[in-house]
Amino acid sequence: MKKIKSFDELKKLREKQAAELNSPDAETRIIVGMATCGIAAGAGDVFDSIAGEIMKLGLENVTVVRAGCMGACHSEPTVEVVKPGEESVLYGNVDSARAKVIINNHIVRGDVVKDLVLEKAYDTIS
Amino acid sequence: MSGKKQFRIALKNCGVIDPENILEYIARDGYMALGTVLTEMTPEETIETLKKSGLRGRGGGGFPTGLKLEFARKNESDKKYIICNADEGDPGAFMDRSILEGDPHSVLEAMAICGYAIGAQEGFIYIRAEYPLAIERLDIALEQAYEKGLLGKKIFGTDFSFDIKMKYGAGAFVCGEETALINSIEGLRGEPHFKPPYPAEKGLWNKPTTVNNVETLANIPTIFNMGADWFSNIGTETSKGTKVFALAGNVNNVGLVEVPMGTTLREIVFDIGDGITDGKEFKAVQTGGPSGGCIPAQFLDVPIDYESLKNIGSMMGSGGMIIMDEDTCMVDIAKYYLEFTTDESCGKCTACRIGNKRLYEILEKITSGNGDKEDLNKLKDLSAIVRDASLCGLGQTAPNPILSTMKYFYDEYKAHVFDKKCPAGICSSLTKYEIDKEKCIGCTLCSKACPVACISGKVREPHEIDQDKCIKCGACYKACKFDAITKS
Repeated sequence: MKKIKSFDELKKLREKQAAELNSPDAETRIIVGMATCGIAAGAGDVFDSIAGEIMKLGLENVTVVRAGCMGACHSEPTVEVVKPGEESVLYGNVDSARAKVIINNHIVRGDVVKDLVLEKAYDTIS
Repeated sequence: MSGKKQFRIALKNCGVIDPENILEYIARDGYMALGTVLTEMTPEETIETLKKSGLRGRGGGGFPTGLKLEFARKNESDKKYIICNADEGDPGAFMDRSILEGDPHSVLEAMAICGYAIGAQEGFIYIRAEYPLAIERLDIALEQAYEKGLLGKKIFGTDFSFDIKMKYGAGAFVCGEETALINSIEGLRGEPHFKPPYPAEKGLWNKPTTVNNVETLANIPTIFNMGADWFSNIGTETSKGTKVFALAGNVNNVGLVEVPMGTTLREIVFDIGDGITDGKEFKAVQTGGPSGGCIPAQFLDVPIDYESLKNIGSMMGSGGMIIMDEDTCMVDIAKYYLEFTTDESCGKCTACRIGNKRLYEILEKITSGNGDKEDLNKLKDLSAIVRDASLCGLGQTAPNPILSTMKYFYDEYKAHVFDKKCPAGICSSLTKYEIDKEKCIGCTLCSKACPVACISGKVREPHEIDQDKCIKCGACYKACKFDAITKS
């Protein structure tokens, strides 16, 4: 990795990264809550299932991300689908089978899997 | 804000970014605060901003963070240190672990900012070895921050250099106390010592040191990115910003919540937490862990901040919040916490080492049905002695669970002592299971469920419990489909 030698270099890198993340052509991000709590609830299997399904279907421009705790311990494992230009969707109580349903319905066909949707309970800065 | 009850500052990146990819942190303004501080602000201005923001320590004490840094800044020395206290140990608390697992860079960035503020070039993260995933993600974050030159020598081409090392704790609760923590890093026995001198004067290896909790640090980058005024507009008069709570116990939506200071307990329990499980009645909420107290329903509308929780006999603590329903025995809860502190007392002070043990024994006596009036007085007197004669926070606050439950749930203590009854039916020595002969149809479900075979009776005839053999496990009570078994 290249070193950041000045504050200006950091600002430029931030611009670039933020632009990539927010661009209309950005990858669809499937975020799996994988802190200790999520993993204990089975998020590891969910992650593998999602990664496997993406490979199997040969989906492009879709990436699966290991993130930390989303806070909804009551509905772990949790998965959030972030499509560029759309409101993100949070799913709760996901298991390997439900993860495949989410991929096939939401990612492939654009149909939100309503039964599994969790209301996002918080506001956040930026 | 869209009117939701929760607002995330410390948790803003948790569950959003990949904690193992520094570029995702950078995309969300990561290390921008450090850049601003190093290139545009003096150490004094940095401290002034934190003072103005009103940020107070999130580890429990609530000491103003800016002031703490200022004390360490003013003490001249060839070396100074920043310590991140990640020795989270309250039962049921997982705020700091979640921040470290979800957003480790925010803590590293804040440590470097604090280092610049006091003139330290080295920092330590004191983390318990029981948090392997947090350690793994911190290791990765450290490696990436060094690769990017955001830690190490001459950060952003300035003269400021900062290194961070990890130090693993063995999980002793007392090592969350800053002087014991410093001892532990030095390789000494994890025991607290008298203050003053405070760590700001003589801390790690007798050099000026600032010890900050994980959540406190996680707030710092945002304060510089958004401004001190923005931050101080959130919260109450004396407590600014937000607080993260680990909501646990008999509540529907257990989870990690972050709310602005001044939110009421009712909003947390009933709106965010969606009420009590199985439609039961709310009884109490325990905050502040073993140092805190149990808050009864009459205070549900108190806005949460450092002062108001103290006024009602509890404390903010690090953020554990355990909700209890009507089936909770408050004497049993006090006993649970005393068992914890008895276990975790380092043994240095007699009052804490022996006093807490005696307090635990009195509670044991009361819950087994052998308590008398004198025991209630002894509990009060001895609690005062342990509080007054202990050196550190562990001992000073260890009697709080007893004092607060005696204050608000004295009836339950009286029921145990005078009526020899446990109103919640939790204390097994005081609970009796009986079969109502009118209702029992002789289905034998109870006798099949009984692990000690103390229920006798023929099929289709009323059964009977042998009280001498009964271990009061409650298995029959749960098994009966005809409400024929009574608990008293």
